Amino acid sequence: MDSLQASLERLDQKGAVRALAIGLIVAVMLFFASNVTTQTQLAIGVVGILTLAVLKFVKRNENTRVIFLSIASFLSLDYVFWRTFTTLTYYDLVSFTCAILLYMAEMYGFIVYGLSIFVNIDPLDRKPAPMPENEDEWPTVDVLIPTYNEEKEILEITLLAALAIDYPKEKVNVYLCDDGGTDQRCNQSDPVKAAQARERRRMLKELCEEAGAYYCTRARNVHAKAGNLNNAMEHSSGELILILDADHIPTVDFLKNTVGWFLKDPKMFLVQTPHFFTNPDPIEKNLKTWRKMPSENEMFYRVIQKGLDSWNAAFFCGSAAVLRRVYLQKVGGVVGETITEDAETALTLHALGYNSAYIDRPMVSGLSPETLGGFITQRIRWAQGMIQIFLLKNPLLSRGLSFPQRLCYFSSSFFWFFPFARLTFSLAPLAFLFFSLKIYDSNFIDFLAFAGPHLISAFMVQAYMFGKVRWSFVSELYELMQSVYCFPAIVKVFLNPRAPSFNVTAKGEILNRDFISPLAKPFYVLLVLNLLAIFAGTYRTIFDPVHEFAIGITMFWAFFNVFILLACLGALLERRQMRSTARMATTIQGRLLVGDRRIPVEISDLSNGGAALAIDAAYESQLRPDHLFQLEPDRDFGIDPGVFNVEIRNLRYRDRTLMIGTRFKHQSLEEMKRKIAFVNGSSERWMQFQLRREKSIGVWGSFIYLLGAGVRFSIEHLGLGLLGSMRRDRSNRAFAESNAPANP
Amino acid sequence: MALVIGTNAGAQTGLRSVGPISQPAAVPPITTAPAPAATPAQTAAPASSGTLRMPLRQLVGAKEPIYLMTAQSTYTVFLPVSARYNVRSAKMHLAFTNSIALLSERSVLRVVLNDKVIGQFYLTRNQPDHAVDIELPAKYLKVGSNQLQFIVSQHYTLECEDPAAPELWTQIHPDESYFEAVVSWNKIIPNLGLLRDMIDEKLWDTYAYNVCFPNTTSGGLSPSQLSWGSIISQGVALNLTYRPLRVTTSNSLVAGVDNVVVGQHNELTQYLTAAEIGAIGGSFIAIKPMPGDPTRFLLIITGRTEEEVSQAAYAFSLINFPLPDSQYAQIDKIPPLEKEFWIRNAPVRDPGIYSFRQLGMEKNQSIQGWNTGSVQLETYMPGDLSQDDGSNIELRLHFAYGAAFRQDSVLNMFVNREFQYAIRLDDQRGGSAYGYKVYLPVKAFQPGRNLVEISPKMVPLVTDHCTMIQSENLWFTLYRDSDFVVPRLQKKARLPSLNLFSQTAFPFTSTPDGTDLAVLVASRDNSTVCAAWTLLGKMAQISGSVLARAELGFVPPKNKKDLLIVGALDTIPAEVLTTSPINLQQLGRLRYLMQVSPTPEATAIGPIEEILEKLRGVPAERAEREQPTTIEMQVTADLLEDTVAIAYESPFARARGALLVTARDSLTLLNGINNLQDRLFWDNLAGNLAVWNKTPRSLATARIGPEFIYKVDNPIKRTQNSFNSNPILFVAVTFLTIGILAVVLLQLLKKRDKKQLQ
Repeated sequence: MDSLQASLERLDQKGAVRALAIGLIVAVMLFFASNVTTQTQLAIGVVGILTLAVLKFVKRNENTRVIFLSIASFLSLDYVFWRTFTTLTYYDLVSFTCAILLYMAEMYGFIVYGLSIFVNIDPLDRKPAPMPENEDEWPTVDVLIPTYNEEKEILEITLLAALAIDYPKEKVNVYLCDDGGTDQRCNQSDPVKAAQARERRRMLKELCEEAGAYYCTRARNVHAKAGNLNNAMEHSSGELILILDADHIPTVDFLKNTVGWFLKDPKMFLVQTPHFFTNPDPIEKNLKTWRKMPSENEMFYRVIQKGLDSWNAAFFCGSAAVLRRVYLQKVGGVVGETITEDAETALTLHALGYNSAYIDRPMVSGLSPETLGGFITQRIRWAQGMIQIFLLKNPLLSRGLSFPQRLCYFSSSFFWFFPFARLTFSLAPLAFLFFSLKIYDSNFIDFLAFAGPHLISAFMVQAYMFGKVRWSFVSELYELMQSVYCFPAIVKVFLNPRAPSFNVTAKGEILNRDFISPLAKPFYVLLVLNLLAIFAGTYRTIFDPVHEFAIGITMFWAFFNVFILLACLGALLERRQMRSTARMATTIQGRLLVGDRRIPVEISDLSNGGAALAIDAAYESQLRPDHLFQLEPDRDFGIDPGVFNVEIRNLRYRDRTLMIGTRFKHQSLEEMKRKIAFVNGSSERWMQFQLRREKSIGVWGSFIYLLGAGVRFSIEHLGLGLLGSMRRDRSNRAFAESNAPANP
Repeated sequence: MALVIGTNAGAQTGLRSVGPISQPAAVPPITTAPAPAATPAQTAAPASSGTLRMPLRQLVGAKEPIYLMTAQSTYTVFLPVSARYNVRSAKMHLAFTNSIALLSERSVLRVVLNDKVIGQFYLTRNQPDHAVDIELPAKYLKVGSNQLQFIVSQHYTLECEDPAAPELWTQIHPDESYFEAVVSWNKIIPNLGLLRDMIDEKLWDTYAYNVCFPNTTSGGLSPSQLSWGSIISQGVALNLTYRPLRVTTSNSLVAGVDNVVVGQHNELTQYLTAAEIGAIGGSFIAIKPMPGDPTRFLLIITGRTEEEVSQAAYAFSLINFPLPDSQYAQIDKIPPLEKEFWIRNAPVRDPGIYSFRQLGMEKNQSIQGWNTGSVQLETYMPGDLSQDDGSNIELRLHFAYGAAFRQDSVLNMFVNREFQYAIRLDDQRGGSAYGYKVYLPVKAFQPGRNLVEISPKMVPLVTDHCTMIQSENLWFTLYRDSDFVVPRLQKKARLPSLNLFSQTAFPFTSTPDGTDLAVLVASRDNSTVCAAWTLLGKMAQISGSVLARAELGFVPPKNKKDLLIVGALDTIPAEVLTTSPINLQQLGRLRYLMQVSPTPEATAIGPIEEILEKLRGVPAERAEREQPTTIEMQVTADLLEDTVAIAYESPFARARGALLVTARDSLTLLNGINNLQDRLFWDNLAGNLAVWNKTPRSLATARIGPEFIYKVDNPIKRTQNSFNSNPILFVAVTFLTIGILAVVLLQLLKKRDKKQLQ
């Protein structure tokens, strides 16, 4: 292998490797052009799948990864060639129309799948670049925290955490960019809202002055978040700009881990880091998968962004990123033609030939939307924004991008057409089982020979590339959940690409009861249709055995849809959420100072609000609820926390250990800053948290897990629905409606 | 395809019919025999009145005997009677044998001609062998096809019986049975519209005609004349369907046969008046009675230039639709024909969906009764269809069947008489299916004509002993909108193969217009020329197309085409003979061949090899490949009256086919090719060497020399072919390529990463 690579290196000097690659790709393409018998195709499928299975168990490195993905790509291309040229048969107009719709949905899936392999064929695991010894060489940084309607408590934490970042104080300025207290909002016609805006401006201004940050607002709310940031840029002058969402609490090492790349690469315009959330998203919460299953966003931040980075196409995600001011200014600041100003800005700067980097280390901790309404609102904005980029700034046509960058951006924007594909897949079996429309013309053997290897290899690739960060079928669940509402939103973008407006995602909401999400109704319809399709299939199996193969395949498909829809129903049962600050499990040792005694404790979980302490039961008599004590944690992940004032809220026993619930009662802003740095300041803690839930349970494991959750919670959902229909009253409806998404 | 046909008023383009023409003043010379000496069999002019005989086998076609089974059974043949005959009397000699278990008093054979019973015979157990003469009353015979039915009622007991008992049988012997008729020839009506009835497949005797070139020089025919005669012969052959033809050529008319006079209009002064010649404005076809013999026609094919004559000849060959009721016509234009143009027998296009209606099932077919027939579909496969093809042809059957069938009622499906698939018709409430999918392996099909048979076997629910058995419920209907779905077929012709040649005339008809065919007529004498025309006519019949673009010549055509060589052995160029797999260098002599036992198709294999074999698809490969069965011995003997056909790789083009047909002399060669049209010879061609003789009747075939794959003539194609033949190799190379590609990609990716991190 080494000698082969040495030979290739020699060849590469003459540019021959690219020619060889193209030649080999042509050779593989020739394969598709040759008439292969079904028998040969079966042999290819079997050998291909067996090879993938063997490679799956071989120690992974980039060599095996590239071979694995090459074989899987080949099997899928083979299927697509066959699907395109042999299975689209005209029977009648209606059947053909449905067949073409299904084909388009499949081709969508195939293109996304192919691009995903391209993007992630060899992700780049970029490490932080070292900072120079001499701090004078370090660039100045402005931290911009845009806000619109977030609570002061949330902003206070983010602001103090930004001020606690480990960087020379004279080189960092923190700006709270308030769009909720603009002149326009302070002088709006509604006197109550105007008063609220003025009060907000006063309060946040005070907070900034007290903390040592700058309060920044503007006259009018134009261009939403992009306009807000650009306004702040006019009032600041740092060489680099760190942008943090209002709920994104930075770790202390943020700048030291990111700024180095700007010094190393003068053409670097962006260093992006992951968004890490300390609370479950509503689907995780409702299906109770939090801490057991990797979060949905980890696939993007743990793998895809690294893949994009390998092609110099990691893009700006709106927060947790450092940008170079001089390049931003070249394009007039954050670009705001679309509502995903972040990706649009990155695309524009990439097109000018500047570079980006992605460092896979969680250095902000944020909050996911608490309700499905908020979640869907957020996703609709992303979908609309990315479709806007697809339509208005199509990456394939943009000048200045390299070919891989075009594909990467195309992949990122084209992905958001998934609602069309998901809804088609949800309804396609019905076309045959109800109406006998001929939507897929194949016999069983050919289907087995071509579709079998493709489907199996696609699942294997999914598990291979993303298995630890995205369990099987989770994508289907999340995408179907969003599809019903994103589809009409996407259609609107198509009708008027410039129409969508920026909707702020609600964070830190509290739900005080379980209820069925008002978004559930379309899923009832889909579930009933698919159940009826299964019934129709069963009937036809008995009374129309002629089409047993086609009926079998489509019934299997309908069963799969039901499986996903049950999980959707489970997720649509909104769970009570009382705690506004999420707790993280820890094992930090420390002491509780009671008078002059120092009682050893273990901090078993920790949040910005308080901590749970495990203590020897013998000390119970010395502890009094509502009394103020001092907590002295040990140094953790390099952060020396000092002493915090805490108030005991409750006492309870877990086994023989006394568990004390405490609340932080900081006495000064300095103490609060120290607490925030202690709780949120370590990126290493977030890394370890992520790694703990990064595990693959395989396709079957994932299927069984999601099926169990789906069945259990959908039954609860339907039970609550039945109960609710008997007990429903007006206030209940009003409460539910208040949680509806803003846009759908 | 259609000719552009104008009106009598005079269309500017197309085929125009013109008014009656008169005989020229000067009566052309008529000889009683063609210029080359021909055997009496070739040119014997049918007497104006005479006796004709035709074996029953000629109407049955298949090689197997005719069996009439069960208590009641019918076998039908169609007896042709040509419009050119005036049948004075006719009879049938019928030979048959019945089961000795039959009850003579109640077992009867009826012979029914056009729904009239013309004879009935007891099926006697004591004298089971019968030979009877049955008069076929002339008044019941009509011009065209006459339905002749053999209907048996067979019983073995007076009591109740099993109507499907195996001892209920009668066999008719088609080789010993024959028809005999005393006929005279009718006067022809000089009308181009009736030409198709004059060159008639319904003639009992072999159709003979003479091609007359009035200006033939002493040096023999010109290449143009050679080509015109070829196209005309193919046109005649196509009109005769599969019946043989006899062609002669001369520079004057020949008595006792139809004559086709061909040449430029100024050469035909003997046959056209000056006014008629002056009126000819392009390609021209005319018909007249033969001077002195009104029972024969004189067809004139002419034009002002050679090109116009060629067009007229081509137009004649394409005619498969009645021409206008006119004595002559002018062809202004033949519309451009698509490249893949067949008059009939067009091979299926792949992939494609054909309805049964397109395969000849004109209407829905209902079948009633126990054992009363089947639906037969005729389909043509490409000549280069590979027998390695592992794919399936899909039938989407739309059918209905009656109620109260017994559980063992089935719908059997056959391809070329071989059983392939069955569907149970076991729903006692009756049933129907729309789009019932049946898969027939492509391997069951052969290049050329294939017969797909769908045969319901329906048994009543109640068949107890001595119970009234209801058979009126036994209905099966197959709808004509059922589909025949052809997948993408694998094409690979392993040559040389006379078997393939006899089935499809492949490779010489690989392009239906003969673009890829060169014909070397080794000498200019009339017998050799007629031999070549006859062979081309037979090929046209088999392929169903006119090889109008075939390149015919008297010198070796050194091009990249398939080569057909016809000539006496001493006229064959040495460069053609030297590459032949069998040594024909010693003129007039053929080395003896020694028959050898076949070697095993494969050695004994273990379980792993067996799996590999299955993956590799070896059985198909084995099935197709013909092993050499002979070794050439160093003993030679004269060819004498034998005719030899040798197929091998063209001496002038790699991976192209060549077929050499030769004999000791040109007359023997002509006789040999005339005899080759006999199905007993033609259908039994095999291997790549055939030697035949009519008296005594003999045909020997052998396989000798190397094989090659048609048109696989460069490394890429040869490699592709190897892959298709050997899936294991294909899979290995595919994955090896992917592996190398992955390594190369890896190298590029490493370089990219290095650049990104710098």
